[in-house]
Amino acid sequence: MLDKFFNPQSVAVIGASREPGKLGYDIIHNLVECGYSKEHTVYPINPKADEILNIKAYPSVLDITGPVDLGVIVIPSKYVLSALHECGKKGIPAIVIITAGFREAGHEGLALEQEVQKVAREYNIRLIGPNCLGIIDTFTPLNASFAAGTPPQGPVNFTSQSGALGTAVLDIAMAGRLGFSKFVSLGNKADLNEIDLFRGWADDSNCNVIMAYIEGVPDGQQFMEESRVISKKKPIVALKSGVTQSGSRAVSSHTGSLAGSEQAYSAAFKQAGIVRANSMEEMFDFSLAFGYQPLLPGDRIAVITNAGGPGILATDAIERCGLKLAQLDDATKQILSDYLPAAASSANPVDVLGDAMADRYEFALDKVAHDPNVDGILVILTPQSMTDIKGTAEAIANLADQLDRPVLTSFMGEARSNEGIDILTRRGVPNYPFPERAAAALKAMSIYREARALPLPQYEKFKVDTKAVQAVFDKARSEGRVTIGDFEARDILTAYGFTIPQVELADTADKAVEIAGQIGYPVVLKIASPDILHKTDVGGVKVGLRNAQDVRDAFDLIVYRAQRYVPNARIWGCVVQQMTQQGLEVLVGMNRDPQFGPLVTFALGGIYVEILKDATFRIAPFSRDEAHQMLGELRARALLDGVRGKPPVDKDAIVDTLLRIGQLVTDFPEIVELDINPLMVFEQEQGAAAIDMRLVLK
Amino acid sequence: MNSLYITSIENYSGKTAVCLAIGKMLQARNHKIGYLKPVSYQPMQVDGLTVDEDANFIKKILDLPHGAWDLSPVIVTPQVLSECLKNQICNLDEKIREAYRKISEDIDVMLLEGGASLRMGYAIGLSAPQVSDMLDARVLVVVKFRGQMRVLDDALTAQFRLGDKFAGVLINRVPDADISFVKEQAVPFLEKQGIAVLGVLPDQPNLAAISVGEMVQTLGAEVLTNGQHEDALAETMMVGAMGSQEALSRFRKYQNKGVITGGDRIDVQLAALETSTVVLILTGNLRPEASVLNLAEQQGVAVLLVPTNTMETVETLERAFGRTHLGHAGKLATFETLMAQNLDAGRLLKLIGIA
Repeated sequence: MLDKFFNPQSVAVIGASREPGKLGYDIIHNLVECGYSKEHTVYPINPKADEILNIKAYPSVLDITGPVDLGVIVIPSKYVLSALHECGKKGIPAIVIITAGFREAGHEGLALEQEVQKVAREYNIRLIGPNCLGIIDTFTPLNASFAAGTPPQGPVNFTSQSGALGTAVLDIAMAGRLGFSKFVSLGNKADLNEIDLFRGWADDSNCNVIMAYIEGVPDGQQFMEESRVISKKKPIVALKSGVTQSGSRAVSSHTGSLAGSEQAYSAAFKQAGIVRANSMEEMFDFSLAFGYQPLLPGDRIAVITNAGGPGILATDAIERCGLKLAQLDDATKQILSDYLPAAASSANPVDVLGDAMADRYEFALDKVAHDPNVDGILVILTPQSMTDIKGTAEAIANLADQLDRPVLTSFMGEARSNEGIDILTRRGVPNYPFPERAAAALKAMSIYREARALPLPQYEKFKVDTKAVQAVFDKARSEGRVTIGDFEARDILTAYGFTIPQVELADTADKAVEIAGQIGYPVVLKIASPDILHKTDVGGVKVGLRNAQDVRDAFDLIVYRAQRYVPNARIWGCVVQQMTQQGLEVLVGMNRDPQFGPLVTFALGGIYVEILKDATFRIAPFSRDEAHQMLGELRARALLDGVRGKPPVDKDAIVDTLLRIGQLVTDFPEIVELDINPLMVFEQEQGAAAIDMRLVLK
Repeated sequence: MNSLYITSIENYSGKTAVCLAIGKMLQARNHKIGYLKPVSYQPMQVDGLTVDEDANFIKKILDLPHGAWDLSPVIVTPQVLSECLKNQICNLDEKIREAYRKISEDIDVMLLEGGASLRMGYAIGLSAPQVSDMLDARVLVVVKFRGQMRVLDDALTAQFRLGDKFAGVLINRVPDADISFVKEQAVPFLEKQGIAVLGVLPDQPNLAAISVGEMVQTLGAEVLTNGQHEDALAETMMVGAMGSQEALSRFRKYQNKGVITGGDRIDVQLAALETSTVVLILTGNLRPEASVLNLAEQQGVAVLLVPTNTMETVETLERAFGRTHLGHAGKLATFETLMAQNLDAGRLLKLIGIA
């Protein structure tokens, strides 16, 4: 389907113009300049022109005799519908609408865009845009955009939701830093969106990496599911904007939909194997590495440098981002020390000294690159007075061409170093002005390797009782409630196979004492009210009650406080709960994200989540492996393994809980929020107990 | 001729609604009824004359022959109060007696609506006990449920203050969770204390709700969405001044709500539309994005635009909320049904001497 967009035999430009400075002129100009018109046919459509740039013009697409593969519409928005009808009648399968004045322009524009979608469906037309810059394929070659020129050929396929950002990126590319295979400005995404492109690009032999600037995705779950498969074939580097509160408001304003949360995007990208760039710079840096170098087979990095300081900085950066400094093989070290001057360092980082010429770099790189303990190499050069910058660049490029592992360089400096950097860039060796940025690019490659190595997730299905849960929801709804608190939530927990402490509801203090006697002291008393979800906030929980008097006092106090602090709350009494053995208190929650759906949280209870914000997220459903990853991502994960003499906790029980909650919120899309807080986790093989749960229905 | 004086313990207890429902019930039984609000503290202008707001409303609904100004002979304006205090004596009794004589001609039952609380009116000699004595009326006290202890104390205080004239209480707005306490424990206790409990009305949140039409009027708002929204009822009002994630979480917990937020807060507006919302009130005269209006229209949510800022808008609505909102046809019918189901009408009629 994308072939008609990127490799059309003929293109009609509806709204082609003879006047330089008009978009309709720029597009024809680009089609000619990029070389497309040499081997393919361009049809300028303009009722008032006979020819444009020496190409015969037509009054309408219906006047063209031959077939047309691609239409580019660049006329005022009020004429777009009739133009689209004509394209439909002509049987043009692919259309790019450059014209603005649609969804982004207000009420009427939105109605017009919906009309355009309808007409396109009617004629089976696939659309890119409206409100976009156009599309480019440097291999066809095709430049159906109004960008100021065509970028150099290269291994990167780039899609941008923002056309303006696209022009800036193309401009940088034209300066020679990055080459593109395809570029698509998606605009309003009335039809095709990122995922349609990714799907088509997964098997694009001209493309080594997909680079995407994204503000929002239309269907989060679909985006994830498909990206997960596509990213196994091609690395996807994505820059997502609107991660802060104000940024997300700007995105909402841009896209007209409620932005997904930063946590949701972060989790979704991770689960989909997408490499997240946090800035334009990272997007470029990472794409360069993926585009031009082989994938990084492991995390052991060797550094070759002609200066000590930058070598140490690189070493720090490598370790800080979680990569390892390679331990060179003894044989390698021996060969290096035999060859290099006595003052040089033959251990990693390999210091070839300030007077190193190209031959010394070449020797060191050749030996290090063939060391079995090395997965990737960073070559640093500082422009010292005798340094042979050009020769060294040539030597590195020659070697890098033959290697099956990545070589990145950091030729530092500008005035003198540029002559080397130009060579490296032209020869496909990514250069970074500072070693830290090279290390970050290597780390991005490592993240991708790990994500790609994971098998596609298998979702486990536990045997559960959905009917029992439905009954609880039906009852709440019949009473006009959307919140479900502790006591009712017990039926849900039981239905989904959770262990819960023994509890019973008491409507009077006497009854509470009676129940406590049956359960056995000590007990916990908690307020039972469908209107009070945060029980501790109103003093609604008393733990460690040791006798009847304690229970009676606690009952009166809890009910009194609840009435006082939540005046109109319906109070059923208190639940009397068996006091569980002490364990580690953790929290499992879910918040339904407007774009990605059920976002499941795992965190340690108390200050860890409230003050330190130490929490980790996944979009449900997720696999057992992914649930295990969540545990490993906590900063305070050491607590799970036991510290200061405490035994490790039952991690499998936490994973089980995460999976069961994932299943519950997937089975019941009407649950919009849910918390099990705390989940008491006991020692290994002792399981976990859900002490308290609350949830909110849609 | 018999008179029933209806008063309450505090503001917004549902006194006017009770007057209306009893009035309609009596009319349905072919009794000719009259209505008088002896003392008013709620003046409004109708046809250039100062009248009582409730009286004006009741006159319309019960279709009474006299002018609204006849139904509220004494309106306590700052000027009236100052005259009273200067002369040390008020001489307002005669005005009330005269209005009562005029209206009660050919009438079976006179409904008298008292002040908002049992404490009001002593300063000008027109407290509930004084007025009910003067017009020889039995007093029914509407008690809004405010807690288990308080409902008992409120009823006992009314009995203590009103003495012989006290006919009984009607307990209003009892939450579901307290119905059994009130019926099984409070009522038997009060009856034993000699207090007739003539009815226990359960709380109906949508009776306290405000309709979109009322909001438009109160706020002088511009309606930005197409479609008929005037009758939609907002049961809670929330202010959206937080980030969209937090807003979403808070909005999810309330159904059929109104959300007040800045016209430029598209994130909060979209969060509101993601949850159960009846009306969006956008402040600061900032028009929303097309996408918001479009989504709101798809979901049948009204979008109102007001020139005031969020705080001023909240204050205006707060002043209006809780007042007589029975203007909404659906609400009045709901309340009448509630009364029909829960008021011991036979006992009430016996108490006022028409059985």
